[in-house]
Amino acid sequence: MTEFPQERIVPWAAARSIFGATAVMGELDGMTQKLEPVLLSGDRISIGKNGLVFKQDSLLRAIKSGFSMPELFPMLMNPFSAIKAIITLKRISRFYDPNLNLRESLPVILRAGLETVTVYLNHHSRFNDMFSDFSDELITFNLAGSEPIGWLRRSTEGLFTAGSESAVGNPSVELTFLNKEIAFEGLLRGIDQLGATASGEMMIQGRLPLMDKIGYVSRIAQKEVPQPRL
Amino acid sequence: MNNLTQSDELFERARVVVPGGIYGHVSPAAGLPRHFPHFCDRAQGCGFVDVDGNEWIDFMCGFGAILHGYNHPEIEESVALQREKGSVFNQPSPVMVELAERLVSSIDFADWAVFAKNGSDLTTWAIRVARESTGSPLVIKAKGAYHGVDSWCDPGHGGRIPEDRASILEFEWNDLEALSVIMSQNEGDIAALILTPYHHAAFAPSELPDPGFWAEVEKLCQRYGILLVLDDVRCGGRLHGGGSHRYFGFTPDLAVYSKALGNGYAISACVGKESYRKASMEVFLTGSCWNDAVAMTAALKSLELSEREGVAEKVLAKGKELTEGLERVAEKFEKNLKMTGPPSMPYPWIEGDENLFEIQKFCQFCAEEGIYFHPHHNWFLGNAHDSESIEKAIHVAGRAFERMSEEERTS
Ligand SMILES: Cc1ncc(COP(=O)(O)O)c(C=O)c1O
Repeated sequence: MTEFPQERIVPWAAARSIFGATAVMGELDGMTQKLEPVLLSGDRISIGKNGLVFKQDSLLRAIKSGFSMPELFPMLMNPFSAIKAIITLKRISRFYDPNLNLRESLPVILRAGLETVTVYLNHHSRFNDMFSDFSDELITFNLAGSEPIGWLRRSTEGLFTAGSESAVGNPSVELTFLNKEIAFEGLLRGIDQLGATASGEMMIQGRLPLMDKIGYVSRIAQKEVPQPRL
Repeated sequence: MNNLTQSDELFERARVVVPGGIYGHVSPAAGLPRHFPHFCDRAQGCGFVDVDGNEWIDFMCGFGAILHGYNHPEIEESVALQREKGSVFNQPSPVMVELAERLVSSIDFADWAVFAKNGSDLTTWAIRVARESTGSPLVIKAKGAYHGVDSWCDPGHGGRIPEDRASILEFEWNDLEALSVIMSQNEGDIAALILTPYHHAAFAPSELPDPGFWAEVEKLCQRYGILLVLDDVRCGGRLHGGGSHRYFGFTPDLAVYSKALGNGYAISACVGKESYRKASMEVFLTGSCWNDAVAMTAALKSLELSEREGVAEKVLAKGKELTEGLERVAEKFEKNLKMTGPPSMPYPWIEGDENLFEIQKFCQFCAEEGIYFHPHHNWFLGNAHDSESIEKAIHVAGRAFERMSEEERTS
């Protein structure tokens, strides 16, 4: 896990967040294609299996500014698939709109965020030893009085994965947002973790040291990786 | 359910002007934020009243800082007399000498003493004295042990650079083989081994030293010329009147005390053997209000009380009454509660409760009836606890376990 090229972490995390968002969109509408990224040589990342390939810098620019040119050759080879991927990409941003149905958006933006965090947890050299005291762990993310909206899991071997369907197993930590507005705001802009737990805006039950560490990594990832609102 | 309106209102005000509202180990986030009060108004004996007027029987004693009870009349009287004269001057007050004399006479290996305000001030200073004395850079500590807020040992994550920990080596508590390997592999480079009297990590059951642990630690330190630094910040005063090393039967080279030393007045002390006096003078030590005659007076009186009343033995006995009672009521409801660590500083652990949900629920139910049991940190007994407070706590605990069982049955 440690050999992952550190300079590729930010673009890869951004690409994984696109995957996370589209995976949940697919679960919601049964149509959206999951844009699973592939790490290519020459600082390139493919968004989806074929057609849409970006230079890393271009991908980040596309995410930050809403536009950037993908590579032409792969697009010409698979024009239909590339255009479909671009349309899917463009549809992600509406889930980041606070005026739309937040209950529907939350699993999408949570999963996008969790995918970003898993890249940091699995590959960032700074966090290599941070979780050595933990084994098989499950963290569930919930909305008070409603179904869980996502989860993060650490395997005994130390691999982190994220998901949005209902999680199997006993959680080590349950994080519950008081309501969807707080959850949305927290996921988008971050949350004052000390204040929000004290006030009850966010409730954490279980192994606090695990959540404390995950929270720290999440805040760094959130600061460094642009959200896929393109 | 306690009314926490004032607590919440104050917290919202705090949030505006203090990052996170309240930070550190007393941050609500570290406890039960919706069940413990955020702010305390006053305290007396073994109880406190929060800002909403809720009355609590307390088993945290200001996270250990209170040994003789809150607002102890004899200590407060001495403090008031000293306060009339003043607290911080250009020169230390005579009380500094008296306090150092008292420590040197009551701690068997101590030939000198120095003072600061916090435990961290002096755990960090002590390892520097060890470095000065040995000329070696490395320090060994137990994994998960807390020794203070400085970057060589703090449990946080932020503001750290790799160099902060580059000279710190860790072994698992009680793993003598690993300790011996670290020492032999780094022979000549290790200045100090810093340890607490037993392992009292947060969020985990406490671990006592295995039989023979301390004897072997002493032997290894002597063999490799490493200073044994005892971090007695948390345990000091609650295991043995002459220092916690006496409870476990070993002799450190330097020892650091704080928490209970001043019964709530900010003071810490480091004592050491004669052979480290010179090195201690080479490591700069001072602080704005460190020559605080009021806190030193409190410490002097507190030590006098501890000796006069045999407080360490008493709090151990009171702890035994509490821990045995709790384990008994837990068993009644088929909960395998183990009160780990010495009884004057017990850490509650429910077997099978790896994710801490059960202990959190238990402490929540107790909090609803005014018993302040912390789910994640060792508790502290004080000399102000009496049979009445202990019996009440055991009774409430029984009800909490009963409620838990009922919930489990119906869920
Ligand atoms: C074992 C131990 N060492 C050192 C310290 C640090 O002391 P202080 O908080 O006074 O700096 C503490 C504080 O809890 C402690 O428990």
